[in-house]
Amino acid sequence: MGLKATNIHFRYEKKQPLLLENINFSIERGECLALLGPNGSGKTTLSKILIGILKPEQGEITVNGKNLKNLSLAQIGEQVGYLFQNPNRQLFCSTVEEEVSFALQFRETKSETGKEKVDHLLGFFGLDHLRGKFPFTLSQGERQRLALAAIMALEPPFFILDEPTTGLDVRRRKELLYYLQKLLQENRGILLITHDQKFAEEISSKKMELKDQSFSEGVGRC
Amino acid sequence: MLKELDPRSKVVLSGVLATLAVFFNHPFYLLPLLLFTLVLLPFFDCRPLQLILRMRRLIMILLGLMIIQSVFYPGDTPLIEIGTWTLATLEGLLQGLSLVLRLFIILGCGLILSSSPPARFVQGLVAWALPYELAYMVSLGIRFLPLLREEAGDVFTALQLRGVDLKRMPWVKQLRIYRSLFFPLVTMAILRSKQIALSMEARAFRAFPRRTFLHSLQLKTPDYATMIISLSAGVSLIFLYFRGLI
Ligand SMILES: Nc1ncnc2c1ncn2[C@@H]1O[C@H](COP(=O)(O)OP(=O)(O)OP(=O)(O)O)[C@@H](O)[C@H]1O
Ligand SMILES: [Mg+2]
Repeated sequence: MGLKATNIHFRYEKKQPLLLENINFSIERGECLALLGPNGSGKTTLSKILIGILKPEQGEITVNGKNLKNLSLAQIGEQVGYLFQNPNRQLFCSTVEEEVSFALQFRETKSETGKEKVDHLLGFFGLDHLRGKFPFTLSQGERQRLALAAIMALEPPFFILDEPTTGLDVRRRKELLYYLQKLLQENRGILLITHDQKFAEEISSKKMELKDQSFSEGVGRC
Repeated sequence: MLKELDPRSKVVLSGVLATLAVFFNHPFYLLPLLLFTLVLLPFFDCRPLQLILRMRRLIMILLGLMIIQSVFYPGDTPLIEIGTWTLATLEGLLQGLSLVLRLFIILGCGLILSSSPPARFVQGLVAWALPYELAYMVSLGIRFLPLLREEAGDVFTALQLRGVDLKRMPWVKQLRIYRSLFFPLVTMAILRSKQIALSMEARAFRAFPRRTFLHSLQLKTPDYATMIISLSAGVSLIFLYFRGLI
């Protein structure tokens, strides 16, 4: 069970050397794996493979025992919440409120509970006063929080967060940490991509580092 | 390699091809012209087959156009008749076929042009005394389209990842989603173009009346050869065509 990658190989173009070579790891529910590595080492690329946007040259990914190949993007989205590195790319509604409630409209949730959930998320991420605004006029940090709130609405068992702390101030960063810890307690799994070593240490139990097209896995608290 | 030609030579070559495509009005002439264009393409590092595969949908639409053309074009040689009513004529079919062939040739010309990076084009156009701002706008426009497509693609991925299965949805619902996306996408594009304009000016675009280029552009023998051959071939073909000699 869990989110599992076996023997992943990937490159963008045939003639190039492999960007990702023989990547193996797994994330169980209730644990957080930090993915570290310098710019251009392939962290974002790996995350895109994990949610099926990119197809690996070799290797396979399973979510709760199901092969990713056999799932549609929508089905993957129900299992894994993905925060894009650039929040602009994943906001597409006309107002902040719509953005958060979007996922719920397509689910058989009662509108009462749906509304409650949206209110809760907006409140939690400090977006209450921005409800009616156009997402693109928000500040960078606000947009980041909005993108987070939007994927949390789905309540998937796993999350992949590509640098969720960029653009957050000290207070919001702390709040995010608290929120992620809560998610872990609710028995969800998280893959955290970050350059923020301290943040990673505070939340994750495992870490994995991508280096010049190779990687090492260290288990245990670091 | 023809890919290395000066962008101006490519402009002349594709200009001649496109002009011929517009003048010729019968598949009998257009088909060889298209074949010639297709033969040229690999030398410019374009793979026509891949293109055809990628544009399956557009091709379907074009075929649809062709059928509509052949139905509505008046002609004397009926192909299909229902009672006394002529549904399609030979003239109409030929006309539709010409239209499609012509579009493909022009598409091929576009491919030839796009084998040079847009920046080189700007330079070529400026060397022909086109105002720099204008040339730059053209090239920026060309570059902006793929960017927009990429962005829209990302938005669609994000959409599906939020649990919307576009493929399994009734089309009325799909349409509603597309409609709701339209406004944010357009606004996004406008905001982005404003940003580009700002950052260009911040990097001293238009601060001086003249500018220099990183790579200099020089017409060489192959360029002169290409231009002379394609121009003279083009002119003589058109001449022969209108004289009814071919
Ligand atoms: N669509 C693409 N086509 C070709 N190459 C790409 C593409 N996207 C990324 N790359 C290349 O792949 C490499 C890894 O990129 P990636 O975005 O995965 O890095 P990253 O580890 O997320 O870096 P950062 O810390 O800056 O976010 C880079 O060298 C990049 O240039
Ligand atoms: Mg990245």
